[in-house]
Amino acid sequence: MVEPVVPPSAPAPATAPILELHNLTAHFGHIQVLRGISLTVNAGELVCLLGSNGAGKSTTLLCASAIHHASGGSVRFLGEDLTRAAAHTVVARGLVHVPEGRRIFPKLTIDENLIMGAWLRRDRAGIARDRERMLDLFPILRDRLRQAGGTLSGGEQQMLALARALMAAPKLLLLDEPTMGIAPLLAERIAATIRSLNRDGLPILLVEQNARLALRLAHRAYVLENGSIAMHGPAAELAHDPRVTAAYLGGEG
Amino acid sequence: MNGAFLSQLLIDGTTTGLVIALVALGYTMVYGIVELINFAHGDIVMLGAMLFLTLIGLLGLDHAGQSWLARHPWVALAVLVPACATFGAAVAWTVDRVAYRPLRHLPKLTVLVTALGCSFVISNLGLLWGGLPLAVFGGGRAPSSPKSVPDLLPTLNLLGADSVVFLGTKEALVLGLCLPLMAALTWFVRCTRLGIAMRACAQNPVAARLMGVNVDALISLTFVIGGALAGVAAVAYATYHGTVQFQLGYNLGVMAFTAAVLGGIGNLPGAVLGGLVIGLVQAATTLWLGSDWTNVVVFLVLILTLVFRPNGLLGTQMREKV
Repeated sequence: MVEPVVPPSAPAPATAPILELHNLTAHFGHIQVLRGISLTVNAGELVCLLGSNGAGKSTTLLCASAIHHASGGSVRFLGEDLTRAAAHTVVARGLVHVPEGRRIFPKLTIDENLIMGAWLRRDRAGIARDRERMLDLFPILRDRLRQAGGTLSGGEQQMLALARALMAAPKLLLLDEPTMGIAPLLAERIAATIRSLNRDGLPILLVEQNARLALRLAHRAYVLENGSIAMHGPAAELAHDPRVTAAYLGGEG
Repeated sequence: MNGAFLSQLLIDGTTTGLVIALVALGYTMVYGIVELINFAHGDIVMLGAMLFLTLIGLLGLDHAGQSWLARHPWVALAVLVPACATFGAAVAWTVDRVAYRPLRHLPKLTVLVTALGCSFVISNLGLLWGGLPLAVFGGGRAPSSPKSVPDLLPTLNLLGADSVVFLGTKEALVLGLCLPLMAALTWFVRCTRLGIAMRACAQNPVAARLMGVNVDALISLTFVIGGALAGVAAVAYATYHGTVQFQLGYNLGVMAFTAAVLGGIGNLPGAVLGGLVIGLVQAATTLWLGSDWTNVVVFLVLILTLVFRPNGLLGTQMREKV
């Protein structure tokens, strides 16, 4: 479905910002990776972040989840400043990050991986309910609860990583390249899952190299080039912007 | 060679091996979570043994029958074991907090050298401690000399006075301390939330942080558990071997570290298996070749094992982290 087209300068007034990155800069050693990024994810939105390799997409997510601390600017989540917060406290507030390369626990069982997802929760009943929900969402995991996570295929590991993140009962999900290196059929299934999670009201910030897929899923999109936002706007508009089609959609359009 | 001979060898080897295994668990747990060989670990056992001997002196347990506690050595041990475990845990926690944690983001070699330094510092603290003017330390006139540990438990053969095979109260104490602790540790690591989180941190600390795990706190917990095991091992070692000296941490540490590598470093059942293998090899060598040969044979076994199984007996191929 296509969201109503709104000019980027005038976002829909009713939406409340969930995540606000303001003028964020980040360094790895002496190398500056982010050069002042401002980005917003509003309630209920699916926002995608596009860009070529090394543009700073993953770093943006790492700064948002406080795994990497920004060198300047600010990260606000649900109105709270998390720029300097410790990573484990960010999760407690509901900001959950599924990293690139999935990073499931290879020697823990599927079930133990899910338990780890709910690490900060104490509501046993809620955890059990969400575990059932995850196993319904990804039936393949139910068949392999006692199997080590590392024995799953890449696509199955991505499903586990997604399920594990959802076990934390997130208020915002950061997804880093969820379809990278995954067979097309499974990638479609994962994309459908992401869309349905968002339709159920979960705001998502999605980093994707597959721009076509991302622009199809997202309401709005940001294009990152050399650590700065080069363009942003409604996904449907960017999908037809000649600069985007030339750089990220293979030139047709 | 007869059955009695073999049984005795099994009892002696298992007892020595379990003490080594208890220390090896501390090495392997810490390695599993921070990839550090905590050279100071053996010396923490030594400090625990010093505390054990000191408490024996202070409570008057070295004079049999003098006090109520001295007449009830099992009760005394029920106090001393938790005391030494708590002490070992506190020392291990402190070493990590003061010396290792500030260096955690630096190259592994930096922390490794620091661990060597901690080992020297602690063994010298043990030397100072051994110089305290206590009767159990021989008045403290020769700080570096071996101090003999008074027998708290009666010498008797639990298999019967006329049995050829000897299983004494000391052996029983070692078995009674080590086996339940190892079972409890296995349950903790396999079945509890904290245990799962510890394994998760060992496998992928960044992912664990993304789940909201406070990785530093879990690393501290690992040191605390390892230190507590070291404290219990101190009591077992001092009771069983009968002497305490400031350098015991080095010898025991080398054996325990070897056990951890032999079993597959980072692998808890491997550490126990490695300890038992080394204990049995030591006992057999001592009986057949003499104690001068024990180290030679132990390390020969280690080298041969690693030639054929480079990751140790139960170790698996180290996974490259993504």
